[in-house]
Amino acid sequence: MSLDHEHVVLEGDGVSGVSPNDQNAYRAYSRLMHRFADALEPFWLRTIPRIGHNSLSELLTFGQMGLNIRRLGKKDMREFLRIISLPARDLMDEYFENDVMKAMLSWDGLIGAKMAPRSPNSAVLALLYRLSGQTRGAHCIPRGGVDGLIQALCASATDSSVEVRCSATVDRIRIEGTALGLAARGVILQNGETIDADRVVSSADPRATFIDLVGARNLEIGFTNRIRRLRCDGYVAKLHLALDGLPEFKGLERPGGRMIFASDLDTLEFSYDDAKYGHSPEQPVMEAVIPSLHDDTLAPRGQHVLSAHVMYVPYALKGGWNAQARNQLCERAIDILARHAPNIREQILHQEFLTPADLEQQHRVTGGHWHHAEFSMDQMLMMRPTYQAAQYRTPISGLFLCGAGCHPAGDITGAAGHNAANEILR
Amino acid sequence: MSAYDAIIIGAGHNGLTNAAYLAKAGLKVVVLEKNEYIGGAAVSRELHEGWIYSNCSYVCSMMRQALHRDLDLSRHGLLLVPYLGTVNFGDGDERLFSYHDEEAAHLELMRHSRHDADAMHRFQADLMRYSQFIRKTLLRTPPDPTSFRPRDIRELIWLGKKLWSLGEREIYEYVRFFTMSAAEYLEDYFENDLVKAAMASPGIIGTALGVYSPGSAYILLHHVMGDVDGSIGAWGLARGGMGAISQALAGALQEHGGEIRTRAGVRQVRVRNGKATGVILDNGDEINARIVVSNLDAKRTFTRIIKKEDLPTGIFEKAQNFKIRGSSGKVNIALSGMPKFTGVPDNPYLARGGQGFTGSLETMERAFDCWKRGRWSDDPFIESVIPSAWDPTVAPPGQHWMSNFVQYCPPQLASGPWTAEKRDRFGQSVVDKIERYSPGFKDLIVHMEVRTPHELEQEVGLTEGNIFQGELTIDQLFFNRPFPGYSQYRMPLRNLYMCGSSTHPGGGVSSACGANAAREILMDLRRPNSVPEDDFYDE
Repeated sequence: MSLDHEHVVLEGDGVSGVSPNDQNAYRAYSRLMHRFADALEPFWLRTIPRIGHNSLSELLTFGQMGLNIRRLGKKDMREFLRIISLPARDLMDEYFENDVMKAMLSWDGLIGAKMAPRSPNSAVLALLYRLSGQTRGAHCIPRGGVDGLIQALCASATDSSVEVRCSATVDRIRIEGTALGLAARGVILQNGETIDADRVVSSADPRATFIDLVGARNLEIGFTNRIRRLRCDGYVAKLHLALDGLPEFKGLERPGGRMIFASDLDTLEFSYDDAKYGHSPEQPVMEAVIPSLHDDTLAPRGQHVLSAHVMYVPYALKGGWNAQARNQLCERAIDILARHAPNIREQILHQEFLTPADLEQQHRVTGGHWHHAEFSMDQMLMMRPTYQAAQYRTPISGLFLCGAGCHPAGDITGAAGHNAANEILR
Repeated sequence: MSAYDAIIIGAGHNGLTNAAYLAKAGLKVVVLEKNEYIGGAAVSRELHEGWIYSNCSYVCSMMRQALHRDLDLSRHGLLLVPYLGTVNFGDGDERLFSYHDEEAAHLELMRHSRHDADAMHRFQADLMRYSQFIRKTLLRTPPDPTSFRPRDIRELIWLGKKLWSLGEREIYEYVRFFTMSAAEYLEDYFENDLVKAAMASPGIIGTALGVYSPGSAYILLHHVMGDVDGSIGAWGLARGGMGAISQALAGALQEHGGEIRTRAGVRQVRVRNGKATGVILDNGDEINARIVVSNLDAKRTFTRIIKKEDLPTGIFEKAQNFKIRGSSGKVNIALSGMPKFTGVPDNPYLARGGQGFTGSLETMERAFDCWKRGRWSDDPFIESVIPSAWDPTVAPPGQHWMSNFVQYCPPQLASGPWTAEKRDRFGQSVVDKIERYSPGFKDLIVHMEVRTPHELEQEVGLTEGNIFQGELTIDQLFFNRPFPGYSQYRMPLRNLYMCGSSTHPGGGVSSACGANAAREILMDLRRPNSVPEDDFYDE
């Protein structure tokens, strides 16, 4: 969304609102990025083996990885090896002129992470990760909200005779010493109930799993240190608005898609600058959707729901999060919306603002991090969340990880769960 | 008929090294320098009577020992003298002293944090191991990973084997080190903020990254992988200033019959049928040669001295996108006496060492934030040294000169172009900061030279004043340096080579780029090749 309401609109493979140069550049850019994303695609749905003692099939994974990149051809492979670590800003500057467009296309490389447009090393990988999958980077809204997706997964699981128990908070994982070292033997719930099992699979984030549920005394000290130092402070807050009617955004016919409120790369960068010192951003940046336009089960007829991800909101706010700090930031976020939709304030029936600290509390995700642990080169592939726990197995036999803290990462792909199941079944 | 076998454009240390090796192999070479003095950014200049400034680079560590010995630079007058200690100044009254002597260093760290004193051993040991690995690659030509030529495959396998031999855990740690930010990496080891800041400071020197930017840990490593006489990670001064390095290299070059011409700026590289055939000088003279070697940075080489239509398509754009960002300034100060710093004990070890006006991680990062916004910070990170404390040749007796390297200084200001007045205000901000730690410092100032990226570009010819001839980020390192596919010193035009810090392994007065380029050139010309591939102290 542009401040002077000359928005850049991306639809399918085309882009409007920019110069013909940028339109052509976008086609070239998009073709190249999709090629790269396709080359990486197979590896998101696969366990990345350890380096060193490899079996044939594991070596094959590495081999295929190399081959896929090699098959891009000499020219593209060189380009791939160069841009893979570029900061979003440099990549955008190489291709485009339009500031709004640069910010918009960087967004998917940055959201969820402690990364600004000038941060090297991980943004392009995050972009490529998001370009893979069924919809090739386009976003969809499941009917009934994300809850609809969860219900469908749950139904499918129940069909395969899985038992799902709610309100059964796990207090800790039961660990027993065996002749071969420590092994997980089940869980103990907060109400004191013990459930025995030969295998325990944790979808909780790695830090919560190892530090809270397993306990440092059951782990080797170097491993514990690495888990403690996992970077998992969230930088995304959630804003929900219940609206009396459909807000009118200046210069936009129908707010049916994703709207990204960041008018240029400096706005993103400076908002990150506030957050990196633990301050609440003066000018938050955000992406917003109005899912009720596509799904009438979400709001009464004629009324709407707006849902936004607000960046960069530090988990560890200096002075701590309280109602006042939260309200202040929420107001700033609504101000940004109101700049584009002047009468949105009058339409608000109810508002909710969840900081990373709130998300941590509600969902027990350490740091309230979107990906459970920062999606960055040093916490990726066979190092995600950290080595010795990266192949879904952990130093405790019978204990597995399957959450977003594992390879590949979060973003509701289901890939981590799928890969973990494969490993367990092996 | 060519007058010369090779023309080297630019008499910086890499150009001289390159020329020395070509001359040693029996080629007829000429080095062309636009200034009236040689050395590029490794120079000693008397800008105020009696004081000799190393007015660009100021310390030495990365000079390859193998080259030093092979070219016999000591006989040509090069003497490196190591630092004995360093003082790091915190934001307030805290001071961190580091000593070369291990026990003294440990006791000093204990004063700050018992934990950090222990962690330092672990940190140093880890850093040494990482630098041992990377040192092996410095004097070798990077392989092209997209090529199937036997040489590239052999080199890739060599590299793979070396990496593999580190072991699984070490490889992971290595990747972490390569990709993380200096600050976050140091959090793994230390708890005290001044200790962290002091250790992180090499991670930002010369680069347009902050201590919190991913990738800055590698730059930290880049600064500690050198050595002074085999003491890895140590820094030293060249007696007589950094110009002594260039003079020694020039001595070696001339001994082998090479020629150097000053005031001979190159206007254009002459290209015929896709081949470089010589150069045209600023004064219109033309010089023919079989090959042309550019010691200028990649951007300057391809956007300034070669016509766009002479280049294959796409190269001009690659050069324009080459990241070469000015981020540092330099303030050289002649002093009438030795400044006294508050809270620093008077001992000969600290007197013969550096001063780091570090502050804290946040102070350094905030200085970077200013750079992003096109300003200089009023509280910059300054790395200083008073060479005259142990080199009597650079200042009159009893008087001193102080070198101050300032991070950050933007190449373009948000408020418009650099002017003399703005430059002086920038210099003043540096003096003000030093005065905070050394009351009375201003009164000692006899003469001062302030250099912003603007001056560095105008005088030395470094685009934007970037001291490494190009950012040291993964996209511009190793086989990506300067551009993917052109990392083996051969450039897109036949008979054109590059030998400056824009090529592998990058900046830092190592002379490795020049030597590596010479190896490739001699290979192409089928000449006997004596350029060393291994460094002296590595196994």
